[in-house]
Amino acid sequence: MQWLYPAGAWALLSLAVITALYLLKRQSVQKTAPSLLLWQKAAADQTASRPFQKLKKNILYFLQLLLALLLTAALMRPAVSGGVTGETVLIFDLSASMQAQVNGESRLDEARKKALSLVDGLHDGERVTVLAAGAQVRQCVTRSGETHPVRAAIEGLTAQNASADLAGAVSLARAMGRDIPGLNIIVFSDTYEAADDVQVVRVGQGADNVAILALGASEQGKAYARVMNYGADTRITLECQADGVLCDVVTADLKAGESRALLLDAPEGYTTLHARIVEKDALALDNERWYAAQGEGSYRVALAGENVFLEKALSLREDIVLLRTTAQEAVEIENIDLYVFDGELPETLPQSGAVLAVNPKAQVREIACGEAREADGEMRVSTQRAASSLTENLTLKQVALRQYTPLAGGDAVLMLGEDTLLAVSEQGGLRTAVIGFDLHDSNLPLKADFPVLMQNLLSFLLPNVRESVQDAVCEAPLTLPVDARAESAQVILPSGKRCDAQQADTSEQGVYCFEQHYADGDTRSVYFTVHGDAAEYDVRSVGAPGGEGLSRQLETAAGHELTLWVLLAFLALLLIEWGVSRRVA
Amino acid sequence: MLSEAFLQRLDALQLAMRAPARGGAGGLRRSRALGSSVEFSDFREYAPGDDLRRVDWNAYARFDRLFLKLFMEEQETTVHILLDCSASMDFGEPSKWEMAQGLAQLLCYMAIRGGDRAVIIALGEEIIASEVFSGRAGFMRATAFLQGLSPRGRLLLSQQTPRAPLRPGRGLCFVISDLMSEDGYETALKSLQYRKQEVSVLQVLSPWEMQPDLEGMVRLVDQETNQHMEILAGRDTLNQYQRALTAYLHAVEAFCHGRDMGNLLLTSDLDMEKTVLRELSRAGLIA
Repeated sequence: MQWLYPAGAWALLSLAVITALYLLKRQSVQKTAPSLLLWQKAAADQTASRPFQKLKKNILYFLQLLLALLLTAALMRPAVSGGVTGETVLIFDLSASMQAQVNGESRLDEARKKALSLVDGLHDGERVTVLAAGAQVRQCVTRSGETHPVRAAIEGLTAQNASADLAGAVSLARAMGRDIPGLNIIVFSDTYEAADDVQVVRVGQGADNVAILALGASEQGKAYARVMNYGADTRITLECQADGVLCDVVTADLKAGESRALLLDAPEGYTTLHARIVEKDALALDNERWYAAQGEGSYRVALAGENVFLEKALSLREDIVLLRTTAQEAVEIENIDLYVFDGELPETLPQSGAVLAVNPKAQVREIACGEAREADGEMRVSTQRAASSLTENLTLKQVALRQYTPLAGGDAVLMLGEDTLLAVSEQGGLRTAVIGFDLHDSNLPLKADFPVLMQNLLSFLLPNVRESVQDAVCEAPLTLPVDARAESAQVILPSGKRCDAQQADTSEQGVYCFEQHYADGDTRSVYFTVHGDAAEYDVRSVGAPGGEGLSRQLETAAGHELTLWVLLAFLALLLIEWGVSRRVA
Repeated sequence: MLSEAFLQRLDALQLAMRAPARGGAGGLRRSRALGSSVEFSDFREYAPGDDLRRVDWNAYARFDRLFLKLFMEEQETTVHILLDCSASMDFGEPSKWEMAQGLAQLLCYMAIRGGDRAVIIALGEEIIASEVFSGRAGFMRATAFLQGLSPRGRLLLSQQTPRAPLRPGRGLCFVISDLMSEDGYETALKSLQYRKQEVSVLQVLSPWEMQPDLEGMVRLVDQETNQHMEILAGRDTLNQYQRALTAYLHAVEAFCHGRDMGNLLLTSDLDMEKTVLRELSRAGLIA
């Protein structure tokens, strides 16, 4: 037995007040009787029960004292012992599946309730640590002996849209256990399997669920949604909105465990699609999915020099606006994404934008040029890591080279013997590629490898931001290609919240906007989507039956607050007191 | 005190006496002695010295012998009225004392009016006995005597009653009391019978004693002794009192019935001129 609110003991003062009132109260009314003869006879008849009569005279006083005691006990919130003992770590599974609801109560709600019943039985000297296991493990309360902060931490928990790192949380708890002997680790989860040193309180129950696993654009004017039925046979209604306007509604009968792609009509030129299953099921998270259409953009490329091979290769890209100029004039043009210098270099290299230098006579950023040499041997692909993507689909068969300038610095892409023919570098967001030979001294431009090599180089030098930004999973770290020329880059969450692109918050599900702001006031926006982890969508089961037994055991061991019972006893005694007072009156 | 009109109504009534009077002077009450009343008793032959006025001349004419007609002699008796003058009688509204005084006056009037003599004996811590009242003037003195009495002090009925100065011979004795005496009433009443009194008990109680209205914690103080006791006047206690009272009254009634004594319970709120007279008649105390 323990008291959850010891300060309620102040109510014991009411006992003194009641006693004082009884003392101050006039004890009896004096009445003259002609004779006490019969009264004494009447009293004598009750001699056998005189002690009771004496008690009866003051029974109201004793009843009222008892009422005050019960009220005080209720205020002090008595609880039977149980629940946690010693040091305990409570780990909460905050994975998306904990959002699954049955009868309006989520699995996390159930976990919270069970945990609170454990915490309410907290003994003096016992400490509780609360770990929230989401995508990252968070320590909410550390070794607290107070019930209030522990309760507040537990009540403040919310399930995430991702998977939970329960293994990490248990590892952290075990690490704490090395310093704390006898540490209890209790995991509140719907899926975590119990271990020898870990007790699992199983929460939730299996439920049917239908999820949208994918949403994308199909052929012109069409979109598709892949739905999966994690439950019994059912019929669903799928709504599709394009930029917030309802564009199609389809219904589908899904058999148990069936996965099906549904075709949807979508208008042209939309930015985002939003599909939604109308019917409610256990997990609301996966009943919605978004799709962000790939935006169109263009790159400005300054070509210095008269090189028809380069010009043709660059023109293959539809998103490139080609500006023909001289080396010196090129650096004076603003907002150039890529400078292509054929032989001649400007006096000062541009401070922004990517640079492709062909047979330069001087160092280009980090890549230096050596003395010209006669070529002798076969051109080959470098073994360096950067070379693999840049030489993709290249054959380099029967490529002849008369003369070259060996390069130093950067990452080698093409080699001739031990000399570097093509090198790339990236520093401070500035990307550079240098070809160490004149294209006219080689038959490479005449080969099919040349446009392939150029497109690979352009992919490196002009990274397509839209393609670089991949749709992500909630709580997963984002790697966004921030343009070095951009003054600021932000991510706008579906809720409208803005955060820095380098520390993007992906807790929400929906359409995100990656926005880059440039000095000239230009803003480039790229949309991408973030969804919950599909691994969490199957909520048909809640773990092994072995955990259930342990769960029941823990429930039995949990402390129970007795305030309600004390209040019921108080009410019963109040009725008795009322009856006695009426009888006495 | 009783009104003149009421007293006149009493003229038609007489105190009932079950045994013949004996030892008294000539009066109106039938006695075992043969005397000069109008009630014929017997004949006997004339003897020298007899009163010639009592010779039955009709019988002499028929039998030629002298016979005397014998008649019952009517004698007077003494009516003792023992009045409880303890403090307990000064209780109730109207008080028991008023009722007791009225009863004593009524009995006294009826005794004197019936040719008897009346003696009032006040029983209290002291015993005050009146003179013997007879005749109209005697009633006036008796009334004055009664008015001079007041209830006070403590009465031990069984201790004081045997000391009461009764007139010798048989007589009527009315005890007017609440009988709430610590030493009981039995010895007192027996002693009166022993002294050849035809005893009638007029027990006077107040309405409060019959149905006390108490509640809560009450400190009861005895009006005679100033003793006190605290009671929790709940339903149980009052029921217990009622049971004790009923048992006590039954005991008095049984005692009186067993000893051939008259017994009448009166409450002090009864109307003397209407109810009390009827009750006395119903109890056979007056005829």
